[in-house]
Amino acid sequence: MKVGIVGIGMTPFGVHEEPFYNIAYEAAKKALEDAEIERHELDNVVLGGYDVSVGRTISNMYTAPAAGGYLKDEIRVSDDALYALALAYMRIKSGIFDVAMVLGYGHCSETPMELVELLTLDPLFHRDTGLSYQMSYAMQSYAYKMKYGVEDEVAAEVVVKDRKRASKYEYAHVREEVTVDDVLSSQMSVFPLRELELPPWSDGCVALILAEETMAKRINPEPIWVEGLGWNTENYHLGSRDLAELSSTRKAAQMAYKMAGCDAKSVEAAEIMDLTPYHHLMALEALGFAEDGRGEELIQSDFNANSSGGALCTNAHGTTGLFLAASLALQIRNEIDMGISHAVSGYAAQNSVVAILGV
Amino acid sequence: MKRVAVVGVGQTNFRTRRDDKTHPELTREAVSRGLEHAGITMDDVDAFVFGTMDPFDGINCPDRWSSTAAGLGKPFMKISTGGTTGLTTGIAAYQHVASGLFEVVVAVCTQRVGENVDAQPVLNTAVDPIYERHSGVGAISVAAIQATVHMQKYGTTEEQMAWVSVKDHENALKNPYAHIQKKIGVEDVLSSPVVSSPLKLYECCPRSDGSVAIVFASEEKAEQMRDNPAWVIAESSISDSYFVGDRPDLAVWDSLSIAGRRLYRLAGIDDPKKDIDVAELYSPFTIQEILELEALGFADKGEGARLAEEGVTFIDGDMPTNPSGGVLCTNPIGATGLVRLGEASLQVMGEASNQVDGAEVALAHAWGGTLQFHALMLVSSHKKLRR
Repeated sequence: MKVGIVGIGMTPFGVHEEPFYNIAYEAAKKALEDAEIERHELDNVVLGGYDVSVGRTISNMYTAPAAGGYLKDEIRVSDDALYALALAYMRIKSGIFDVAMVLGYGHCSETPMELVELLTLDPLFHRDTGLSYQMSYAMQSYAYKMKYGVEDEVAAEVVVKDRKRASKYEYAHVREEVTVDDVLSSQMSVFPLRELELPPWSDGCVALILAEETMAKRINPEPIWVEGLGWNTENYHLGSRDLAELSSTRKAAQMAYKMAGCDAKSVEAAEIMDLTPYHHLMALEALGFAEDGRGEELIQSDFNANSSGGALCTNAHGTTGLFLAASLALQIRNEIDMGISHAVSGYAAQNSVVAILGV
Repeated sequence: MKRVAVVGVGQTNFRTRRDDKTHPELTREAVSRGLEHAGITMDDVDAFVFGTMDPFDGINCPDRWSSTAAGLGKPFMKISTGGTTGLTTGIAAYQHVASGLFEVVVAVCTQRVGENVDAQPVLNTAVDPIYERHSGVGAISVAAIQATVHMQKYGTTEEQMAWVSVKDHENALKNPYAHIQKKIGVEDVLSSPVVSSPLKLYECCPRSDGSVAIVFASEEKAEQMRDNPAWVIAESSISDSYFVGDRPDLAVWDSLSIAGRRLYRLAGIDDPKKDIDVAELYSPFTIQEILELEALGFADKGEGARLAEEGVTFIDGDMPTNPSGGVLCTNPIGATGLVRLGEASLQVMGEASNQVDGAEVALAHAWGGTLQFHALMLVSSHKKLRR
C-alpha cells in the first residue's frame, strides 16, 4: 500500500501581519481546495512546528483548529514539519487512518529567533559559550571550507543561483537577484559567512494532504507518492562531531533510499535546506549526488537543486523543510518524475529528515 | 493492521526537583530501566520517539540534548501536544511499529517542571493574549470552574471530591516512584488551604521532575521478549475548539466522551464498566477524575462523585482508578500521559506495584491544552479482547 500527496497548499512566505493561526488556516484551506475535498473528509491532522518560533506555549492549540482538526484526531511534531510528513505517512501506512492534513507553521517575526535558539544550549557545557545558532552553522561552513579548499566565489555562486530561482518562484521570501560581487562585498556576519550567505527569518505555512493509495486515487487521479523517508540524529555535543559533514543527513538518506529501493541516480531534483551555501554543498554530498568535497562541481552543472530558491531565500523556522517538500511536489506535478527533499534542525544540523517523492 | 505490544516500562523516581541528574541523565535512567525490563539493549532499538513540553524544562528543545543519551545515530522524533504529550508520544511510537517501518521503538518523556518558579504562569502563556490570558487562566483555574459547575448542576459535594484524593494518596503509598507519599483522610483534604475555590491543596497535583520510557515491539519481537506483553488494542485522540469559553457545558467533558466512543468502537467494547478492569486517568485535580469517569462511561452523568465515596474506584472496588496514585500524586506534565500508559501496561502484565487482581484490560488517558485535547490508549493481556 502506498501513501500519496493529493493536495498542496502554501501561503506566500515573508513577514506577515496576520497572526500565525490565520496564516495556517489559509494554507490548510488552499490544500483542501487543491485536493477538491471538504474538511470533514480528513480523518486526522498532523502538525509540525515549534512553540518558540511562534511565541506561544502549546502552539498546536491554535494550529489544530486552523488545520481542520476540530473534534478530529490530532498530533504535533515539535520539529521541522517534514517530520510531520513522516509521521502522517506511518499513521496511514499502519492502516489506522485514511486521509491526513499535514500542516507546518513558522512565524519568525513573532519572536527574537537568535535569542530563542540560544536557549536550546544546555546550561552546563554550551550555554556559557554564548554560541549562536548561526555561529554553529558558520563553524560547520568553516570546517568544510578548509577541509576541501572551497573558494569564496563558489559559495557566492550558490547564493546567486538560489536567488535567481527564487526570483521566479511566487512563494519564496527573498526574491531579489544578486551577483557574485554583491555577495562577496556584503558585510561579514559570522565568519566565514557574509550577510547574503545567511537565510532570512520568514513567516509562512504549508499544508499537504496525504491519503492511502486507494483513497488517494479517488481524490486525485495523479497523486505524488511518498516513495522513501528517513530521519536521524547526531551528537548534541559539538566537540564530539566531525563538523565538516552532515552525517545525520547521510544516515537519513540511506534509510530513505533503502525504503524507496533506489539511489541518487534515479533522482532528478533536490530541494535541500541550505541554511548556508556550504550546507548546500554538504547536503548534496550527504544525499549522494557528489563525492565528499566535490559538491561544487554540481553548481557548475545543470543539476536541478532548489528550484524554490532553497532555505537561503525562504526560512520559516519549523516549516522550512515542508516548504521544500511542497515545492518539490509542485515540480513533480508539472515537470519531473522523482525528487528528494531534505531538512535539518538543531545546532550544526544535528537532526535530519529526508523524503523521496515521485509519480 | 499490525499488532504491537508494550514490552518494557521504565520510570525514574519523581520528585519536586531532580537536581541529582541532568535532563539526558534522567532520560537515560528511564530508558535503561525500560530496556532492562524488556530484556534488550540499546542496539536492539530501531527508533526513538521523545516527548516533552519545552516551556517547562528551562531549556528549549531539550530533546536535542537528551537524544545523545538515548537515540544517537537512530531515527528520533519529537512530539509535543500539551498535557497529552506523554500519551501522544506513546501513540506515535505505537504507530512507528504499526506502520511496519520499525520493529522495536522506545517512547520516552522527560520533564523537569522544577525548573520553573511556578507552572501556572507558563501554562498561561498558552492562552490567547488578547481575549483570555489576562484572566490568569491556567490548569487549576479551569479545573476549579469545572468543579463549581459540576457542584451546581449535580450537587457534587466537597467531601465527595475529597474521597478521590484520599483514594489516590492511599494508592501512591504502594508506588515506589510516586512523588507524594502521604496517608491522608477526608478531614485533611477539607482542611487543607484553598488553592482555587473550591479546590484545596490536597486536591491539586504537585509539580514533578522525572522521566518514563516505554518499549514497543512488533508481534513477533514481543513474543520473543516476554510471555506477558501488554498488547495495544486501540488508541484515539481528539482536538476541541480553542477557547475555553466556547465549550458548551463545563459540567460534562463531551470531547472525551466522543474520543471514548471512538476508542470503544475500535476495540469492540460495549460496556466499559464490564470490559475494562482498571483505568489510569489524567486527573491532576479531584474533580477531573469524576468528570472523566462520567465521560468515559464508568458512571452516569452526575453520578461520578459517588464512585470514590462508595469505594468503587479504590483498588479493591469494581472499577479501580489510578492505582498508581495517579496524577494527583505525581505530575511531570509532559511525561504524565506516558506514565499512565506505563502503569496501565504493568497492570495487564500483572507486574504493577499496586496490582489490581486479574486485570486484563486497562485504559490510559491524558488531557491537554485548556481542556482542548484528549488522548486514550487501551492495552490488554490478550491480543484480542476476551469477548
